[in-house]
Amino acid sequence: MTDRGDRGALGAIAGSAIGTTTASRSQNGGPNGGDLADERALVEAIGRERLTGLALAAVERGDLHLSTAGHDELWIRHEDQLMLDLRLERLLVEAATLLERADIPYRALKGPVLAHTVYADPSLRSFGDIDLLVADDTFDRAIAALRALDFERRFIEPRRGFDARFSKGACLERADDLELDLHRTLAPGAFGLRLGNTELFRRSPRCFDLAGKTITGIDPELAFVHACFHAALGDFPPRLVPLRDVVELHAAGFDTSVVTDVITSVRCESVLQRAVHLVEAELGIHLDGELVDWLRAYRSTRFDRWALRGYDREDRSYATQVAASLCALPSVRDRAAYVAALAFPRRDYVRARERSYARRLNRGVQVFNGSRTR
Amino acid sequence: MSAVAEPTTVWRRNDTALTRLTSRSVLLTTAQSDEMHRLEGTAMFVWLELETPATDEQLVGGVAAGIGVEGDDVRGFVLAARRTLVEIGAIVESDD
Repeated sequence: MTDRGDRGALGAIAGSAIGTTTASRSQNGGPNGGDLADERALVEAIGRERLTGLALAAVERGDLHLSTAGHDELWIRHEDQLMLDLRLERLLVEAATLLERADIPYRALKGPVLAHTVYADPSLRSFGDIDLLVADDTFDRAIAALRALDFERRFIEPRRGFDARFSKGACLERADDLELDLHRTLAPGAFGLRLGNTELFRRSPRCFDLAGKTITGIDPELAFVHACFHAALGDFPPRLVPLRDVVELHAAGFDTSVVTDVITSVRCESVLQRAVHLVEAELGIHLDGELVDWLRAYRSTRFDRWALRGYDREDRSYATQVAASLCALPSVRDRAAYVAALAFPRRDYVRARERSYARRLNRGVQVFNGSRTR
Repeated sequence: MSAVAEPTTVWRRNDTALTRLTSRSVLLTTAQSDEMHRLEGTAMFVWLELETPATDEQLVGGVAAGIGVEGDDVRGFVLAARRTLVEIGAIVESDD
């Protein structure tokens, strides 16, 4: 099976069995394991994309055909993934408890929230880390609190306070390989900066129970916005699970006027438009409804089209993302602080990333050249 | 905890259990322990039966009815599975 064929089969699995009247699936045939080598590659890719639950459901419905060996391999991968999900959920409970004790409001995002509140069964929505959102002014305190769970930053920030002011957040890791993404907004770059953080805590959370503890999760409207951000800006080629999240959230329903208000106020319509387009292109699912009709018809600005180009290529353009972020910052003072931090970061940051200031400055010139208006 | 429970003891799932149900097993851990357990066979049936709290005899009756056999045929297996589930912290005595 070719890479493209693999991708098509994975897309069919990720888009399979959508039980909703607000979406329709194009008839492009079901996935098939093909010969044994292809099948092994497909099962491996299913595991990598964290689609084992959906793939097994497709096997049970007769939509995906695997050999006995392939089926067994899929089961092994599925159980391994579910065990990771459970370890991460235990971590979520511990982290939420710590943040509450430190009086730091938080919102759980993505995996566990959607697994327990949106998907028909939590086994259908696996994840690879825990994502927590905190407010800008509690960001550094939250990182300090999470050190009690032996977490450390994976990457040093360019300057103290940079992440709490400009980044999407910080990736925290520990010796047992579990990861926790601490967010201060929902996406990196210009669109994440536009969305900011303040609004995200004004809305009532959606709470759910996990191991006897009430977890404060993001509300359905912002969950949809976040799923679209993740799908449109997360990886290239886009991960399939966030695309499935968009479909599941859309099917579950939410107050579309809230989503429209939020994204209009921060001028991120083109991000959601791209997510809807990707759902159709990658999963073969055509979403219906007033909101998606409006998104399809939306005419994105020249700036948005340029900023989105930073995310839609194999060699995701760091230069474009930095330049677009600069444009999205609200004040001259913010822009100056942002440029100064990236141009002259702490020495340990340079050592960890690029080893010398000379290389750093050279890269700065490349960023400048790469960010010219096109 | 004593291996022999009072006949009137009511068992329930531990509130702190984290689980995933598949068609083959229940994967389970608890908030207090790093151990991961795979419940299969009778242990899985007992866990599923405890969706509502139950005594040993209610568990025996429920599991037997679920698989279409007499209670005496499964009593030993059910009680052994129940004891194991208590030992690993998956189920606890109900306060009610």
